[in-house]
Amino acid sequence: MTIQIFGNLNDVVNKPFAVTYPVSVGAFKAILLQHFPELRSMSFQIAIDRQMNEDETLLLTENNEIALLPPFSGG
Amino acid sequence: MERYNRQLILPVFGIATQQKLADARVLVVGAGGLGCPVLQYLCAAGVGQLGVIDPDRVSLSNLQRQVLFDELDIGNLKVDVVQKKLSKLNSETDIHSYPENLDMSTVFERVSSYSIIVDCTDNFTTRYLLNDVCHLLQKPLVYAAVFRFEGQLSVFHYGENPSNLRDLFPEIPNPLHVPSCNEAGVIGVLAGIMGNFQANEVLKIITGIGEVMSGQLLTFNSLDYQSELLRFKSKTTAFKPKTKTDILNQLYDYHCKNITHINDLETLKNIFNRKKTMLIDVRNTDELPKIVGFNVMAIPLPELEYHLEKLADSETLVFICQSGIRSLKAIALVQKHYPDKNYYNLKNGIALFTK
Repeated sequence: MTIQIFGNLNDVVNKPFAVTYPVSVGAFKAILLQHFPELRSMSFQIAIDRQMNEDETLLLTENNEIALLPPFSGG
Repeated sequence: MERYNRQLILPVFGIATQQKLADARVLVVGAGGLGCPVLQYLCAAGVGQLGVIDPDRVSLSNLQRQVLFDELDIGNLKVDVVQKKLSKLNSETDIHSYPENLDMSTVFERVSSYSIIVDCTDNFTTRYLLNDVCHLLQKPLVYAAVFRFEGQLSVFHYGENPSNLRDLFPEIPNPLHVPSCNEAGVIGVLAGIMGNFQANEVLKIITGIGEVMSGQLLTFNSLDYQSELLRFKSKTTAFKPKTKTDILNQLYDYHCKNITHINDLETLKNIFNRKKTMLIDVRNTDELPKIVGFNVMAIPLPELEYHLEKLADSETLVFICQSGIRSLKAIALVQKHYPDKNYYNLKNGIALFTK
């Protein structure tokens, strides 16, 4: 699985972490927050295969492309 | 029409398309790194009516990316400089300049006077306010934002299946965790690229040529040219105002004056894992229930201004009252004295502990 990280999330999600597949989106999120507690206070969304995802029960496999996307405010 | 010859000879263009540009009314909110190229290219292309809103004056640190301005403009209102320079670029475009902050008192009138709105602002307060007003008034909103070497682009409230900024990011983010360009830095060229993308979307909306970036978010990285098109769907749980009052009742400003709203215990506990954090109860001493389990200091709101020194050593201050309103007032008061602390408000007040 590839995980693409955008914006300031790169400052936080900055080391490898282990995930056993298949894993639900909700469980994946929990693993992320456990490894990178600073994410709890940050705003971000998860996209799966280039589609923003709301469904926490969706099962992720090694073939999925995941993106972690924060909002930007700069202009 | 010699001026527009190079676009008129495009196979899909023509006099009728040029007339659409001349009839268009576009409002550009923010004359910064994004706004400058948007204004320049739309003016050059022959957009008939261009509005520009910005309260700021040109400063030296703007010139690195806001390429409409030069050294002689420093100290002048940006909108005045825009008016002066664009009227030289294309006298056929009417420029309407508004040297003001876009806020509740002006936003409805400004947005309703134009047919397309371009978000070139640099803060979440204005971005979310603008988004909600464009949703209410059904005005296409061309959105772009930058962070360091990355940019995002989308078009909201457009077409048969209009999308919304809140479909992507439902809540106004905590600005403490999303640095602005002033804090995070930005490369001038990137703002130029994203601003040009915005101008391109405006031209597509006006002319009907091409596919408007609606329901998708474009991400662009200027370091490796990686770009993605991320699709997203309508989020029914997100705030979508049905009336002007819905918007007037939203807290945009407080959200972004470095206040974060909390409404769950877990978040509160996490905040208390930081050092130098204090919970301040600004209810009167007879109000119940009492808070237990947290290190809490009780200072009723009327007395707060006389006890500010008690807060001096804390880095993070969490305020609570009965319903979440007095605590906001307390934050407004304390922030004047201590602008650099982290502020949290318990949105629903004491209800958090009684659930």
